[in-house]
Amino acid sequence: MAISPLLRNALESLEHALDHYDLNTDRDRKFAILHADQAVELILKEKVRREKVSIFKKDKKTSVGLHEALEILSQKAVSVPESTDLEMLHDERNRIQHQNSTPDVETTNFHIENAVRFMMRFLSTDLGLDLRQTLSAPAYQRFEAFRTPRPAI
Amino acid sequence: MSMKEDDVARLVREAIDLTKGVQEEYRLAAFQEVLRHLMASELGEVRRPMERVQPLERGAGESIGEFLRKVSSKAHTDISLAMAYYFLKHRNIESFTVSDLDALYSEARHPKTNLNLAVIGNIKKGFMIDTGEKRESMKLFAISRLGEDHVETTLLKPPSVGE
Repeated sequence: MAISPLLRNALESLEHALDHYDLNTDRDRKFAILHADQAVELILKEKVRREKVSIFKKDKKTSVGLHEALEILSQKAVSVPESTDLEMLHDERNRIQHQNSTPDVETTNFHIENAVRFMMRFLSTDLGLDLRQTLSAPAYQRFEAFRTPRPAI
Repeated sequence: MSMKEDDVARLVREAIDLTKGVQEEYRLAAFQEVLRHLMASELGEVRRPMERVQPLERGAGESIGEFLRKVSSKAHTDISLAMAYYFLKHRNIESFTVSDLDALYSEARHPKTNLNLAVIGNIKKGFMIDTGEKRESMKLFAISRLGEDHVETTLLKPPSVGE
Protein backbone atom coordinates (compact mmCIF):
# COMPACT_ATOMS: atom_id res chain seq x y z
CA MET A 1 0.00 0.00 0.00
CA ALA A 2 1.35 3.44 -0.91
CA ILE A 3 2.19 5.72 1.97
CA SER A 4 0.06 8.86 2.18
CA PRO A 5 1.75 12.27 1.92
CA LEU A 6 0.67 12.96 5.52
CA LEU A 7 2.43 9.88 6.80
CA ARG A 8 5.54 10.40 4.70
CA ASN A 9 5.76 13.98 5.93
CA ALA A 10 5.33 12.78 9.53
CA LEU A 11 8.24 10.35 9.19
CA GLU A 12 10.45 12.95 7.53
CA SER A 13 9.61 15.48 10.24
CA LEU A 14 10.57 13.03 12.95
CA GLU A 15 13.88 12.24 11.27
CA HIS A 16 14.50 15.96 10.90
CA ALA A 17 13.70 16.41 14.60
CA LEU A 18 16.33 13.79 15.47
CA ASP A 19 18.93 15.56 13.31
CA HIS A 20 18.36 18.77 15.30
CA TYR A 21 18.14 16.83 18.58
CA ASP A 22 21.64 15.48 18.04
CA LEU A 23 23.16 18.88 17.26
CA ASN A 24 21.96 20.11 20.66
CA THR A 25 22.51 23.86 20.32
CA ASP A 26 19.84 26.18 21.76
CA ARG A 27 18.47 26.74 18.26
CA ASP A 28 18.58 23.05 17.34
CA ARG A 29 16.67 22.02 20.45
CA LYS A 30 13.91 24.44 19.46
CA PHE A 31 13.66 22.94 15.99
CA ALA A 32 13.82 19.41 17.39
CA ILE A 33 10.69 20.16 19.43
CA LEU A 34 8.92 21.96 16.56
CA HIS A 35 9.50 19.11 14.12
CA ALA A 36 8.66 16.40 16.63
CA ASP A 37 5.36 18.12 17.42
CA GLN A 38 4.64 18.44 13.71
CA ALA A 39 5.37 14.72 13.23
CA VAL A 40 2.99 13.81 16.04
CA GLU A 41 0.22 16.05 14.69
CA LEU A 42 0.58 14.63 11.19
CA ILE A 43 0.47 11.03 12.32
CA LEU A 44 -2.69 11.74 14.34
CA LYS A 45 -4.24 13.38 11.26
CA GLU A 46 -3.34 10.31 9.23
CA LYS A 47 -5.30 8.19 11.68
CA VAL A 48 -8.23 10.65 11.50
CA ARG A 49 -8.14 10.31 7.72
CA ARG A 50 -8.12 6.53 7.96
CA GLU A 51 -11.16 6.75 10.24
CA LYS A 52 -12.92 8.37 7.26
CA VAL A 53 -13.20 11.74 8.99
CA SER A 54 -12.11 14.86 7.10
CA ILE A 55 -8.97 16.45 8.48
CA PHE A 56 -10.33 19.84 7.35
CA LYS A 57 -12.35 22.22 9.46
CA LYS A 58 -15.71 23.56 8.31
CA ASP A 59 -14.04 26.38 6.37
CA LYS A 60 -12.29 23.65 4.31
CA LYS A 61 -9.17 25.81 4.27
CA THR A 62 -7.50 24.92 7.53
CA SER A 63 -7.02 21.47 8.98
CA VAL A 64 -7.57 20.22 12.50
CA GLY A 65 -4.83 20.64 15.08
CA LEU A 66 -3.47 18.25 17.67
CA HIS A 67 -6.24 18.75 20.22
CA GLU A 68 -9.03 18.37 17.65
CA ALA A 69 -7.37 15.28 16.19
CA LEU A 70 -7.16 13.69 19.65
CA GLU A 71 -10.82 14.59 20.24
CA ILE A 72 -11.92 12.98 16.97
CA LEU A 73 -9.90 9.84 17.70
CA SER A 74 -11.39 9.66 21.18
CA GLN A 75 -14.89 9.77 19.65
CA LYS A 76 -13.84 6.94 17.34
CA ALA A 77 -12.67 4.92 20.36
CA VAL A 78 -9.04 5.08 19.28
CA SER A 79 -7.01 4.96 22.48
CA VAL A 80 -4.02 7.29 22.74
CA PRO A 81 -2.63 6.73 26.24
CA GLU A 82 0.25 9.10 25.47
CA SER A 83 -2.14 12.01 24.87
CA THR A 84 -1.15 13.92 28.02
CA ASP A 85 2.52 13.78 27.03
CA LEU A 86 1.67 14.81 23.48
CA GLU A 87 -0.31 17.79 24.79
CA MET A 88 2.70 18.83 26.86
CA LEU A 89 4.90 18.59 23.78
CA HIS A 90 2.42 20.77 21.89
CA ASP A 91 2.43 23.27 24.73
CA GLU A 92 6.24 23.39 24.59
CA ARG A 93 5.99 23.89 20.84
CA ASN A 94 3.62 26.84 21.39
CA ARG A 95 6.02 28.46 23.85
CA ILE A 96 8.81 28.19 21.28
CA GLN A 97 6.65 29.32 18.37
CA HIS A 98 4.94 32.25 20.06
CA GLN A 99 7.28 33.33 22.86
CA ASN A 100 10.72 32.39 21.51
CA SER A 101 11.24 30.02 24.43
CA THR A 102 14.39 27.85 24.43
CA PRO A 103 14.01 24.32 25.80
CA ASP A 104 16.87 22.97 27.92
CA VAL A 105 18.55 19.60 27.31
CA GLU A 106 16.46 17.67 29.83
CA THR A 107 13.18 19.08 28.56
CA THR A 108 14.16 18.28 25.00
CA ASN A 109 15.18 14.73 25.96
CA PHE A 110 11.83 14.24 27.66
CA HIS A 111 9.74 15.38 24.71
CA ILE A 112 11.81 13.72 21.99
CA GLU A 113 11.85 10.37 23.76
CA ASN A 114 8.09 10.54 24.33
CA ALA A 115 7.44 11.57 20.73
CA VAL A 116 9.57 8.82 19.18
CA ARG A 117 8.17 6.11 21.46
CA PHE A 118 4.63 7.24 20.67
CA MET A 119 5.35 7.27 16.95
CA MET A 120 6.87 3.78 17.05
CA ARG A 121 3.88 2.37 18.90
CA PHE A 122 1.20 4.21 16.94
CA LEU A 123 2.73 3.45 13.55
CA SER A 124 2.71 -0.27 14.18
CA THR A 125 -0.37 -0.82 16.36
CA ASP A 126 -2.76 1.85 15.06
CA LEU A 127 -1.60 2.34 11.49
CA GLY A 128 -0.57 -1.28 10.95
CA LEU A 129 2.84 -0.50 9.51
CA ASP A 130 5.73 -2.92 9.49
CA LEU A 131 8.39 -0.43 10.50
CA ARG A 132 11.27 -2.54 9.21
CA GLN A 133 9.68 -2.53 5.78
CA THR A 134 8.43 1.05 5.78
CA LEU A 135 11.43 2.88 7.18
CA SER A 136 14.90 2.99 5.72
CA ALA A 137 17.39 0.87 7.70
CA PRO A 138 19.16 3.92 9.20
CA ALA A 139 15.84 5.56 10.15
CA TYR A 140 14.58 2.33 11.72
CA GLN A 141 17.79 2.02 13.74
CA ARG A 142 17.50 5.60 14.99
CA PHE A 143 13.86 5.23 16.01
CA GLU A 144 14.55 1.84 17.57
CA ALA A 145 17.24 3.42 19.78
CA PHE A 146 14.41 4.96 21.81
CA ARG A 147 12.30 1.86 22.25
CA THR A 148 14.09 0.40 25.25
CA PRO A 149 15.30 2.08 28.43
CA ARG A 150 18.73 3.54 28.01
CA PRO A 151 21.47 2.39 27.69
CA ALA A 152 20.18 -0.55 25.72
CA ILE A 153 22.35 -1.69 22.86
CA MET B 1 51.70 -15.72 13.24
CA SER B 2 49.85 -16.18 9.93
CA MET B 3 46.21 -16.92 9.15
CA LYS B 4 44.63 -19.44 6.81
CA GLU B 5 42.78 -18.15 3.75
CA ASP B 6 39.49 -19.50 5.14
CA ASP B 7 39.97 -17.53 8.34
CA VAL B 8 40.77 -14.36 6.43
CA ALA B 9 37.67 -14.81 4.26
CA ARG B 10 35.53 -15.37 7.36
CA LEU B 11 36.85 -12.21 9.01
CA VAL B 12 36.32 -10.19 5.83
CA ARG B 13 32.71 -11.40 5.68
CA GLU B 14 32.27 -10.53 9.34
CA ALA B 15 33.73 -7.06 8.78
CA ILE B 16 31.44 -6.51 5.78
CA ASP B 17 28.48 -7.58 7.87
CA LEU B 18 29.39 -5.29 10.76
CA THR B 19 29.84 -2.23 8.52
CA LYS B 20 26.99 -2.63 6.07
CA GLY B 21 24.90 -0.01 7.90
CA VAL B 22 27.67 2.60 7.74
CA GLN B 23 27.13 5.55 5.38
CA GLU B 24 28.71 4.85 2.01
CA GLU B 25 31.30 7.61 2.21
CA TYR B 26 32.67 6.20 5.47
CA ARG B 27 32.11 2.50 4.80
CA LEU B 28 35.55 1.67 3.40
CA ALA B 29 37.36 3.33 6.29
CA ALA B 30 35.07 1.63 8.79
CA PHE B 31 35.52 -1.73 7.05
CA GLN B 32 39.31 -1.43 7.20
CA GLU B 33 39.17 -0.49 10.85
CA VAL B 34 36.85 -3.35 11.79
CA LEU B 35 38.89 -5.87 9.80
CA ARG B 36 42.10 -4.69 11.48
CA HIS B 37 40.40 -5.11 14.85
CA LEU B 38 39.07 -8.59 14.04
CA MET B 39 42.39 -9.81 12.65
CA ALA B 40 44.29 -8.50 15.66
CA SER B 41 41.85 -10.35 17.86
CA GLU B 42 42.15 -13.54 15.82
CA LEU B 43 45.93 -13.45 16.06
CA GLY B 44 45.70 -13.07 19.80
CA GLU B 45 47.25 -9.66 19.93
CA VAL B 46 46.89 -8.13 23.32
CA ARG B 47 43.85 -5.94 23.49
CA ARG B 48 43.23 -3.39 26.08
CA PRO B 49 41.07 -4.65 28.92
CA MET B 50 37.31 -4.91 28.64
CA GLU B 51 36.52 -4.67 32.32
CA ARG B 52 33.83 -2.33 33.45
CA VAL B 53 35.07 1.22 33.30
CA GLN B 54 35.94 2.58 36.71
CA PRO B 55 35.83 6.27 37.59
CA LEU B 56 39.28 7.77 37.61
CA GLU B 57 40.71 8.73 40.95
CA ARG B 58 41.04 12.41 41.55
CA GLY B 59 44.40 13.83 40.55
CA ALA B 60 45.24 10.92 38.26
CA GLY B 61 45.39 13.10 35.14
CA GLU B 62 42.97 15.23 33.19
CA SER B 63 39.41 14.60 34.32
CA ILE B 64 36.63 13.93 31.84
CA GLY B 65 35.06 17.25 32.81
CA GLU B 66 38.29 19.12 32.01
CA PHE B 67 38.64 17.20 28.77
CA LEU B 68 35.08 17.98 27.63
CA ARG B 69 35.66 21.68 28.20
CA LYS B 70 38.12 21.55 25.29
CA VAL B 71 35.53 20.03 22.94
CA SER B 72 34.13 22.64 20.58
CA SER B 73 30.84 20.90 19.76
CA LYS B 74 27.67 20.38 21.78
CA ALA B 75 26.32 17.68 19.47
CA HIS B 76 25.50 14.47 21.31
CA THR B 77 27.33 12.34 18.72
CA ASP B 78 30.44 14.51 19.10
CA ILE B 79 30.37 14.46 22.91
CA SER B 80 30.00 10.67 22.99
CA LEU B 81 32.79 10.35 20.42
CA ALA B 82 35.03 12.60 22.54
CA MET B 83 34.28 10.33 25.49
CA ALA B 84 35.31 7.28 23.47
CA TYR B 85 38.53 9.14 22.61
CA TYR B 86 39.03 9.94 26.30
CA PHE B 87 38.62 6.25 27.19
CA LEU B 88 41.30 5.34 24.65
CA LYS B 89 43.83 8.09 25.24
CA HIS B 90 43.45 8.80 28.94
CA ARG B 91 42.43 5.43 30.34
CA ASN B 92 43.90 3.06 27.80
CA ILE B 93 40.50 1.43 27.26
CA GLU B 94 39.84 0.42 23.68
CA SER B 95 36.33 -0.99 23.80
CA PHE B 96 33.35 0.15 25.84
CA THR B 97 29.63 -0.39 26.23
CA VAL B 98 26.88 2.21 26.15
CA SER B 99 26.68 1.71 29.93
CA ASP B 100 30.33 2.75 30.21
CA LEU B 101 29.54 5.93 28.29
CA ASP B 102 26.56 6.50 30.56
CA ALA B 103 28.85 6.19 33.60
CA LEU B 104 31.29 8.65 32.06
CA TYR B 105 28.45 11.14 31.45
CA SER B 106 27.61 10.85 35.16
CA GLU B 107 31.24 11.31 36.15
CA ALA B 108 31.46 14.41 33.95
CA ARG B 109 28.09 15.62 35.28
CA HIS B 110 27.19 16.25 31.69
CA PRO B 111 23.48 16.40 30.71
CA LYS B 112 22.60 12.97 29.36
CA THR B 113 21.07 12.10 26.07
CA ASN B 114 19.90 8.94 24.35
CA LEU B 115 23.32 7.29 24.10
CA ASN B 116 22.04 4.45 21.92
CA LEU B 117 21.20 7.08 19.29
CA ALA B 118 24.56 8.85 19.71
CA VAL B 119 26.51 5.62 19.21
CA ILE B 120 24.40 4.67 16.18
CA GLY B 121 25.10 8.14 14.73
CA ASN B 122 28.85 7.66 15.18
CA ILE B 123 28.80 4.20 13.62
CA LYS B 124 26.93 5.63 10.62
CA LYS B 125 29.70 8.18 10.16
CA GLY B 126 32.41 5.54 10.56
CA PHE B 127 33.69 7.20 13.75
CA MET B 128 32.91 4.21 15.97
CA ILE B 129 32.81 0.51 15.22
CA ASP B 130 30.81 -2.36 16.63
CA THR B 131 33.55 -4.78 17.69
CA GLY B 132 31.19 -7.74 17.38
CA GLU B 133 31.87 -8.65 21.00
CA LYS B 134 29.81 -8.27 24.15
CA ARG B 135 30.29 -7.74 27.86
CA GLU B 136 27.42 -8.54 30.23
CA SER B 137 25.20 -8.97 27.13
CA MET B 138 25.91 -5.42 25.97
CA LYS B 139 27.70 -4.70 22.71
CA LEU B 140 31.27 -3.46 22.86
CA PHE B 141 32.14 -0.50 20.67
CA ALA B 142 35.46 1.15 19.81
CA ILE B 143 36.51 4.47 18.36
CA SER B 144 37.88 4.10 14.81
CA ARG B 145 41.00 5.83 13.49
CA LEU B 146 38.68 8.04 11.47
CA GLY B 147 36.93 8.93 14.74
CA GLU B 148 40.24 9.69 16.44
CA ASP B 149 41.17 11.98 13.55
CA HIS B 150 37.81 13.74 13.78
CA VAL B 151 38.31 14.42 17.49
CA GLU B 152 41.86 15.66 17.03
CA THR B 153 41.32 17.80 13.95
CA THR B 154 37.76 19.06 14.41
CA LEU B 155 36.49 18.72 17.96
CA LEU B 156 39.39 19.68 20.18
CA LYS B 157 39.69 23.44 20.40
CA PRO B 158 43.13 24.85 19.72
CA PRO B 159 44.46 26.61 22.84
CA SER B 160 43.81 30.32 22.91
CA VAL B 161 46.69 32.76 22.94
CA GLY B 162 48.18 32.85 26.41
CA GLU B 163 46.84 29.44 27.43
